[in-house]
Amino acid sequence: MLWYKMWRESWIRFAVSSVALLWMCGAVVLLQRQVRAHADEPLSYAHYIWSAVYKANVLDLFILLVIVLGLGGVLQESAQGTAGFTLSLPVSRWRLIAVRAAMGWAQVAILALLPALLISMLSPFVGEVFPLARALQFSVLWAGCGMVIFAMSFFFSVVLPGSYSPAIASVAGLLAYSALADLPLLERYPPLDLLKTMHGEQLSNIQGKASLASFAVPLPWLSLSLYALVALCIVWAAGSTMAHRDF
Amino acid sequence: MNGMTPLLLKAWRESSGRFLLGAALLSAICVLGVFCRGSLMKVFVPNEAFTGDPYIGYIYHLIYGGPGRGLFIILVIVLALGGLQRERLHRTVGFTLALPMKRAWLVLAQALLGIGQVVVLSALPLLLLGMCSWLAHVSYPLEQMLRFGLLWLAGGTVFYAVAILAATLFDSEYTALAASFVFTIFYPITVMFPPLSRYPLNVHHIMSGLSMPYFDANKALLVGEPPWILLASMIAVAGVLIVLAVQIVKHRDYS
Repeated sequence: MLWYKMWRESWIRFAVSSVALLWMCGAVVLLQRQVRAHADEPLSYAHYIWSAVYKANVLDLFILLVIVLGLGGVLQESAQGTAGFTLSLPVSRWRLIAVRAAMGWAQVAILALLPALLISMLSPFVGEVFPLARALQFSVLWAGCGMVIFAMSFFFSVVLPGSYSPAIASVAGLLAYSALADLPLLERYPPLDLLKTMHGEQLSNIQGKASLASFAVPLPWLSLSLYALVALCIVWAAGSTMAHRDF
Repeated sequence: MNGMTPLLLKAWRESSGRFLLGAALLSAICVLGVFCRGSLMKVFVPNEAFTGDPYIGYIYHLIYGGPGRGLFIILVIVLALGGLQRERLHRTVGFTLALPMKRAWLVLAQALLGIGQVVVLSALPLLLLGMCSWLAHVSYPLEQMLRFGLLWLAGGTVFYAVAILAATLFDSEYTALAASFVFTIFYPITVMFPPLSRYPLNVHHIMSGLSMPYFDANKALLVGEPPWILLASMIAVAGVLIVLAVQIVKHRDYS
């Protein structure tokens, strides 16, 4: 029942996000000929997809949509007068937090998967190929890094009142993090750069076809494990804050 | 005190937190950008073809053509959300609609205050960069800041109007936010393709000057006359969108 509640609260956002991502990826694939024709230098299809989807606009959209998915929760419900109902359910506050986080992470993972499926399926219709295995590698990066972004937005939703302040704080946090990661002091540790990890530049440079057998090798598992740990810690901090809060 | 003043006060009370938080963040970028330039200038580096003043190129890449502008757009969108749909969720819409004011005035007061907030946010870099640059003994041309402020104001008003329309259309406040974000990213891609690509329709480019005839990318400076017709057209588009939002609110059932 709790899962159903969390789904009902977020499904419209999730549906809008899914449609938007599919729409944008579809446009990128279908209009590839025109864009590549206007490029400053010859652009392979794989590099075009990486530039348009995994490095630039679609990635930016994905990040913003993940932030929006992380918004909501009991603090926001208190403004709507429904917090009392939620808190009186026969479940612990920790369970509320855990289910909402798990539902959000599942939605983030599905959103990360959508571009991979659509691009691989649509590419043959424009006479091109983008290997599913390669696309799924990018999805793993997006899902892993998206967990942290979701957790950050989730945390701010627990500690900041108001519907929109958590969104502003999340965007600001990401900008600050991005600038810090580029500073010479931290630049020496590439695994710490969340956005660069999401770009997956190392994957875009791999020549030849990707196969399911060689799927896992090029992925930065150390970074992804680190991000998963950080995301869990942030959600734990959010749970701890909520468990002791007077609503 | 006429009827508009309390509505403006109500709109201010509803959005002041978001506005002050946003203004603080934008201010932080500007102030830290100037005083921490030693480290950040290694990050926000102009491209190889750049031949102008390094500080001017750096400020452009950090503020007017970089993360500062991105943050400004997101702040403007967040400022526009709220209104009667949100009040319906919070169960205060009955109170607001029972006020002896026309529905159109409610939306117009929100829009008027919001555009005022966009004006302040557009002017913040001008004030802070000017002051901090002076304190740090570096200089960024005042005339450039004024012109970029004008471009931000016009572009920001368009994004504000889009978000106010989304907040009017969608029942859920978060859906309106998601839809506005989608528009922000999807729309500039759409106008890249013919026949739209022949016209200067990309608000992001208009705001940053990128690929525009009034911008010298090699020196990161705005040149020539400001694009008055373009700016007036953007304000007109924003006006049309706000009028559309007013019409929707006038005919909507909030029960």
